[in-house]
Amino acid sequence: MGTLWQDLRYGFRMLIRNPGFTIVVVLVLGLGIGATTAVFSVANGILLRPLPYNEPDRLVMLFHVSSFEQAPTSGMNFLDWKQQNRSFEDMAVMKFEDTTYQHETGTERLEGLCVSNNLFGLLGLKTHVGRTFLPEETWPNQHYIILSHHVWKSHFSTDTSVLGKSIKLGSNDEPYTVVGVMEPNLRFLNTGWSFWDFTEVNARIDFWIPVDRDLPDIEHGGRGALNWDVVARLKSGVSVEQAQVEMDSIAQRLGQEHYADLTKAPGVKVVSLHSHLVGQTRPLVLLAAGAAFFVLLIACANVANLLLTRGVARRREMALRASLGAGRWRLLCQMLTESMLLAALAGVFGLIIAIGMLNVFRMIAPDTIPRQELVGLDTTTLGFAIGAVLLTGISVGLVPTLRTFRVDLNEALKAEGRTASMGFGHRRLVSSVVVSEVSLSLILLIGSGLLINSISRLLLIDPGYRTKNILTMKVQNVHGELLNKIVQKAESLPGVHRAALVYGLPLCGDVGGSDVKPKNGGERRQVSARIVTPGYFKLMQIPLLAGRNFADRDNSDSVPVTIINESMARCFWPDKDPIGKRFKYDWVGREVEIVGIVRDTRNKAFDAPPELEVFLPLRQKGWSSLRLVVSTGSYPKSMIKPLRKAIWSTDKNAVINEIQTMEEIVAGTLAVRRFLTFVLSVFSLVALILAIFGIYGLFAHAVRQRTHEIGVRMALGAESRDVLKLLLGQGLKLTLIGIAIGLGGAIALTRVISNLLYDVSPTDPLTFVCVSLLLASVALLATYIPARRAAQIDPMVALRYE
Amino acid sequence: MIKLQNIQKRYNTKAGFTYVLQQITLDIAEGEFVTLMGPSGAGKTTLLNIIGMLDSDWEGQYTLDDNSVHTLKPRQRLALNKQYVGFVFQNFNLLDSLTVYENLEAPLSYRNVKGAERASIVCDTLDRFGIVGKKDLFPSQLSGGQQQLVGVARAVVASPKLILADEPTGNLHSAQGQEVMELLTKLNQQGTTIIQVTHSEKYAAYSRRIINLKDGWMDGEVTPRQLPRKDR
Repeated sequence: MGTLWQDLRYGFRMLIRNPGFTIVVVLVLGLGIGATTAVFSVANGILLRPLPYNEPDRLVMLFHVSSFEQAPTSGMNFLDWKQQNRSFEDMAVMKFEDTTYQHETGTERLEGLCVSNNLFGLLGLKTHVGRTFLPEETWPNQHYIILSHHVWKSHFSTDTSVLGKSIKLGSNDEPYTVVGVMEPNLRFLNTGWSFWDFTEVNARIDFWIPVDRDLPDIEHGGRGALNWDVVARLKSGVSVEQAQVEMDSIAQRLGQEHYADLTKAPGVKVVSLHSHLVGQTRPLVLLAAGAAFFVLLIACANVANLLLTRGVARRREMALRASLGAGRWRLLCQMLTESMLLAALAGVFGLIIAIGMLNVFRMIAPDTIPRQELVGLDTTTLGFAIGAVLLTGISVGLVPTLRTFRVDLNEALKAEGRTASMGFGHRRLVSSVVVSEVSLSLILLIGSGLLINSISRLLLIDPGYRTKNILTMKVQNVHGELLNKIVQKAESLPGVHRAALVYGLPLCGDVGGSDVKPKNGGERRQVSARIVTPGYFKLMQIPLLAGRNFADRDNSDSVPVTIINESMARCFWPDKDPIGKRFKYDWVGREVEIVGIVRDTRNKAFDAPPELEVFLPLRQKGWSSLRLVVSTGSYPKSMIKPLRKAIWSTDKNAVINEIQTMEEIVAGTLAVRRFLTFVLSVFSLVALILAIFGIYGLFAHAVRQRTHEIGVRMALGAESRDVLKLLLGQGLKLTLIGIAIGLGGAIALTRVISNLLYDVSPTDPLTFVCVSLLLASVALLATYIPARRAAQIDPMVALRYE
Repeated sequence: MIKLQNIQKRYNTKAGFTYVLQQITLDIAEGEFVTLMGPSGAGKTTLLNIIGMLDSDWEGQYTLDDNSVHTLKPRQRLALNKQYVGFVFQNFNLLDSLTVYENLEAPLSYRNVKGAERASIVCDTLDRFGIVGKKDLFPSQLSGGQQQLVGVARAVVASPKLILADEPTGNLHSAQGQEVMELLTKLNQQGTTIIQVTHSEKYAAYSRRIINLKDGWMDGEVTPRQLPRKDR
C-alpha cells in the first residue's frame, strides 16, 4: 500500500513536472474515451435497456408479408391468426387514431390509439386511476375512452371525478365515457408512420379507445385493408423461431382458403418487439460505435507513442533505478501507475466531452431515432467509462514500459552510444503506429465520404414534384363544401399562386390504399391512394400525361373517377390505353373509372422507386384530415398568418397544425442519413486530426532520434535534398502501406453501410481514390515539416547530437 | 593543397565573444599526413570540421587547391566537400540500419555514381579492406575494430583526395588502433592527404607533422622525432 502511495505521489509529481506532455495526453486520450463513452451511452439507451413492459422478451409483433412489402394486417387475418395459433399467450391489435377535442379555449387535435381491450394486460400496463376496458365495452357503437396522464392533467386538472363522465370528441361531438387515466410518463407503442417505419415507444399518446369486438365488420376492404398492427405475447418457453414456423403454416392454410387467386399467398413475419423497435437503429448505433472505437484506437496509438518517446528519454532513469535495486515488477508498477494516472485524468476530461456530445446528440438527433430519451449518463455508462479508463491506461502504458525494459541497462547508463540512429525495434514500432493510424483514419474517411457522396446524390434527385416555395399545413375538423371554400380563400390571398387540399402529401406518410386485382387475371398488387382537389397536380407541377384532370363535376353524384400514375398504367395495362377503363378498388368500396394518367413521383421516400398509385377527387372520397398546400412567390412561411386567418374565417373549429414548407419535409426525410453522415464525418475529422498530429509527432520524434545519423549522412556528402528525399520517402512508404491496409479494411467494412447508400457502391472507386489522395497529401505534409527541419540542420550540430 | 590564413571562429555569448579558434594560419601540402593535437577544448575538431567544410561559420581565408572556400556559398562548399573529403569518426558513426555494403554505398549514392559503377567500386573496396565476408552484416554485428575498418573503407570509397579522421582510434584497443593507423599510413603512401586529430602521441607518430593547438591558438609545430620517446 505504501509502495502504491509512493508510486502515485511520484507519478503525480512527474505529470506536474511535464505539464505540456500531461495536457496533450489528457486531451488526446480524453477525446477518445469521451467519444466512446458518448456512443456507448446512446447504444445503452437505445439498444441495451429492456422495454418498459412486463417480461418484454416475450413480446412480438406480427406482420403481413406480401411479395412486395411487409405491412400491418387486416382485421380478418388477425382474427384467424388469434384463433388458430398455439404459440401465443395473447394477441392484440392497435391502430392510430386522431380526433379533435373542443374545450373552452379552442379546438385541439388529439392523437391516440384504437386498441383491443386485452392490449393493456398483454403489455402489463395498469391505469393510474380507473380501469382499462371491459369486454362489453367493445360492442359496436360503445364509446369509452382512457386518457393519458398529460391530457388528464392539462384539461381536467387531475380531477378524479372525470371518471364515468362523458367528453365530446370529433366534429360530431360524439360522447365518450372516461373509464381510466394511464400512468404518468408512460412510454407506449405508437403505430404512427415515420421514414424508418418505426413503431415508436417514445411517441405522444393522448387517448386510447376500444376497437369494436367484431373487427372485420368495421372495415370496407376485407382482407385487403391492411390497417392493424398486431402485438402478441409468446407462451412461456416458445421462441420467436418456433412461433414463426407455426405462423407460416397458418399463413399457408389461409392462403389456400382466401388468397387462391394469388400466385404467392401472403405470409406472416414474427419479429421480437425489441428488434422491431430498435432493429433499424441498431446498424446506425453500431456504426457510430465502430467509428468512436477507431477514434479511441488512434488516440491510444498516439498516447502510447508519446509514452514510448518519453520512455526512451527515461532509459537512464530506469537504468539508475534498476542499478539501485528496483526489480522489473517494481519498475513496471511505477510506469503503469503513471499511465493509469494519465488515463484517469483523461477519463474525467472524457466524461466532460461525453456530456457535451450527448447534449449535441439530443439537439440534433432526428425524432425518428427511438428511445432517445433514455440516452444519458447513468451508472452503466459510468461503469463503461471506468472500464475504458482502466483498459486504455494499461494498454497505452504496457508496451512502452516493456520496451524500456528491453534496453541494455549498462548501455543506457553510458552517456552516449555508438549508434548513429535509433534501433530497429523502436523504428519498427513507430512505423507500425504510423501505418495503423493511416489505415484506421482512411477507413473512417472513406465511410463518411461514401455517405456524403450518397447524400449529395439524394439531394440531386428530381422527385417529380415541386418542392420550392411550397407551404403545407394539416387542416382537420373541416368538412364538405367548407373545404373547397378554404381552397378558394387561400388562392385569393395576395402572394399565393395556387392552393389545393391533399390527403397523402409526398413524404408525409399519410397514404391510403388496398390490393387491386387486374381484370386480365394477374396477381393482386397493393395500390396506394391519395385524395386531392383538382388544383393539386398543377400546383405540384406533376404533368398530366394523358386524359383529363379532375373537375368540379366529379362529385358524389357522378361516376367515381381516378387518375393513375405511369407505373400503375404500365403494370395493369401494359399494351392498352387505360383511359376509360374501370377496376374494383376496395379502399373506396366500388369500381372507379380512369380519367387521367400522371407522371410517376417519389412519394414514399426520395430513395424509393415510385409505387403503383391512384389519385381520387376529394369531392367523391371525402376525408377529414387533409393538408392544405399553397405555392407562393417568395418566402412561403410569410403566408402562415394570412392562411390561418383565412381558414378560421371559413370554419372557426378548424384544427391547424404541422405547418411545414415542402423543403423542410424533404429535409426531414433525409434527417437520419444527414445525422449519421454528420456523426461519421465528425468522428472521421477527429480521427484525421489525431492521426495527422500523431504522424507529425512520430516523425518529429523519429527525426530527432536520427539527428546524429543525419549529421553523419551529411558528413558523407548528403545534401539537404538527399535528407529530405530520404525522410519523405520513408513517410510516403509508410503512408502508402497504411493506405493499402486501410483500403482493404474499407472494402470489408463499408458493406455495413451499403443499406444507407443511395446510388453509390460501397466500393465506389471515386470516393476511395479521392479519400486516399487526400489522406496521402495530408500525411505527407505532416512528414514534410519535420523532414524539412531535419534537412536544414547544421551538420556540425547534428554530429554532436546524441 | 590547403592554405588557411587567420582562421578564427567565435561564439557570441552574454559575456561577449568566446573564441574557439584564433589566428590559425597553416599550409598543408598534397600527400601530407598531419596530426592535430592538444588538450580537450583546444579547437582540434572544430578546425577539422572547418577544413572538411562541415562548418561554415568562421572568419579568415581558406583555399583548397584553387578554390577560395571563404568566398563559396554553403551549397558550393558542400559540393567541394563531396569532391575532396572523406571522414573517419571516433565513434565510427556507421548507419546501423544499413549493412556494411550499404554503408559503403551511401557516399557514392550521394555523389550520383550510377548503380553498376557503384557496385563495382564497393566490391573493390570490400576486397581491398578484406571485409567481403562481412558485407551483409549490420554494424551491431561487428567488433569495434571491424566497425572502424568499415568506417575507413567508407571514407575512402569515393576516392577522396583528403581524409579527415577525428580520433579514429579513440574507441579502439591498441592492436585495433595500430591496425587502423597502418591502414591510414598505407592510404597516405598511395597519395591521399590525411589530417587526423588524436590525443595519443603514439598514433601521432604515424604522421609527418604534428600541429599543437591550445585554447584555440596554434601552439607550435613538431615532427614525430621531436616527441618524447616513451610515447612512440
